[in-house]
Amino acid sequence: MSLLECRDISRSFFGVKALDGVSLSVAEGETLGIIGPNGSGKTTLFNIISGLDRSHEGRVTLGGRDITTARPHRIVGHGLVRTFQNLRLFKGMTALENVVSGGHSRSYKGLAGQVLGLPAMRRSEDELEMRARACLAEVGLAGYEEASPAEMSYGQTKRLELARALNAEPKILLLDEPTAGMNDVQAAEILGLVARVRDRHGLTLIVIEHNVPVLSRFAGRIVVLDAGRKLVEGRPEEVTRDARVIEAYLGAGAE
Amino acid sequence: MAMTETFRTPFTVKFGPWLFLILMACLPLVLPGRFWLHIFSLTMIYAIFVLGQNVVTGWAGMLTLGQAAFVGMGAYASVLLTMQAGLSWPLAFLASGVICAACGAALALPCLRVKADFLSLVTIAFNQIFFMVANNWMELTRGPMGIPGVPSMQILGWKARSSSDQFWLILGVAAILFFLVARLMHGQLGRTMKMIRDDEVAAGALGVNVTGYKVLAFAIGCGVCGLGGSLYGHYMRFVSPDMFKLEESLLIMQMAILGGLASMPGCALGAFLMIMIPEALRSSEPWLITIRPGVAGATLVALMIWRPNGLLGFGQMPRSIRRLLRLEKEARP
Repeated sequence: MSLLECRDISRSFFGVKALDGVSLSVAEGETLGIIGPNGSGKTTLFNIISGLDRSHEGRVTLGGRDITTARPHRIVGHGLVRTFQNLRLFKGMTALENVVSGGHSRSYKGLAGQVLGLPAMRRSEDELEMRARACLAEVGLAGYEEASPAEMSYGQTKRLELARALNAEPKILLLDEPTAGMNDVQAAEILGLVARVRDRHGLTLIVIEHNVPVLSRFAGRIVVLDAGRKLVEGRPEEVTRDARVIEAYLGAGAE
Repeated sequence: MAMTETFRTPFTVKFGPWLFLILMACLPLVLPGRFWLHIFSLTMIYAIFVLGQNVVTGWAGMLTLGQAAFVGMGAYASVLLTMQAGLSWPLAFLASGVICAACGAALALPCLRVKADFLSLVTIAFNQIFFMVANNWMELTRGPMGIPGVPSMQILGWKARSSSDQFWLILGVAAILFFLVARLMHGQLGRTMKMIRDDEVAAGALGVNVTGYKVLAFAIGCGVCGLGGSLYGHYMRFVSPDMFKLEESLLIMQMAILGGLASMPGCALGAFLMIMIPEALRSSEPWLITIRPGVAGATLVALMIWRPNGLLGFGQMPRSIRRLLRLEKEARP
């Protein structure tokens, strides 16, 4: 049974079709890779799924629930969390606070409880902090709790964003170019970490990625977008051999 | 196992405020004369205004420049409720907070449609509207003449007559307000506001109802200013529209920035410095008096260059000093 289903998604910006009737479905526990040249609509698709943008046509359902017009914070409540291509960390907070923030949806929110320091609030805050520390350790950032994101290396901030997303306890995680700007060794390391995390938490993943060889090793299925349309869909070894993909993605005559 | 580990709040964070409160309470016993007592009372009232500004600007990241309107609204509401409607001061005090919180939430709605600089413009406009209404609605506010003879604060028959009584009352109210707001800002609410301040999109993507929390920030910040306004009106025993002009909003904002945005002690420090610097320069030396108006401005310029986040703002204190003062959480062995 598919966990996330997009049907005929279309979105245009001032007449330019960023997405043109894209459909895809992701089964529970699956890892789907999305590749495509710049401007092919990958991030737009993520924005529409996560509720930051609205599609002009089509439907998005998550676990059978229609989330096409739901606002972002509602969608997180249903277990869908995303990361961003150009890291969106909270710069005025420490690494630990950043990760604690990830658990916002399950935090205790009553104002009176916070003012009075009720036990329920304390338990919730303690749980969030414990989980946040565990998430930091999981991505290999134990010891950086009090560091500010500005003091961290690029690779560390990528890990931090992953930890923050993990603390949101997603069922399905959308990663927008988790290895952007990294060399093959670093990229393999990050995707290896993502794979470990996925297996440990039983996550369903959708990953936008440019590094096709690295992606092929860990995605079960790859969708290729080109100019807002789905070009090819299939197992990595099929997709990377497909003549249309080679032409669109790697440029004609790249073989 | 890590899950059983707990983390303790450092003792400086835990007991520092109490020590400060005790020292403050001793001030009337040691200060010579009523003048300095008055200055400190005024500082505490302004610290409350700055607290209100800081909730909206420091934590939620919206640069409002109209907090004086809410101070004024709270002052007028409280004064009119006691003098015209015959309410007791504590009731009028609470009512002015509620009224200002409601108006703040209402002002948040147009503010949500605009970003950054334009939000500041909307709040400036609101300040002007408030001033105009207070200045022209003669039947209610007596216009530019103001309302004299405001009764002093009193609680259940106990009237704050002497300046030390007033000082202690203001200190008590300020302490309670700081305590309540600190509880909120150091917990889930403050963290969520900081998420919005640092990155609205990411906050939304992590499940934050951005609109709701912005309205809440305005309601709390403006409510606090309204409560402060009630103290102000009954402490000065007089209200007039001139006391709540845009300049006053700018002063409150300067205090918030000087002390450090999103810093609880910063609120008090900013108010203290911006009131104390001009007073300290009110000496017999003529040249000091000449430069007096420029000093506050020069302080701010220097601050923007060397300490852009304010004296106690985020990331302003080197890690070594934070460790020395035990300001960071530490793992319990």
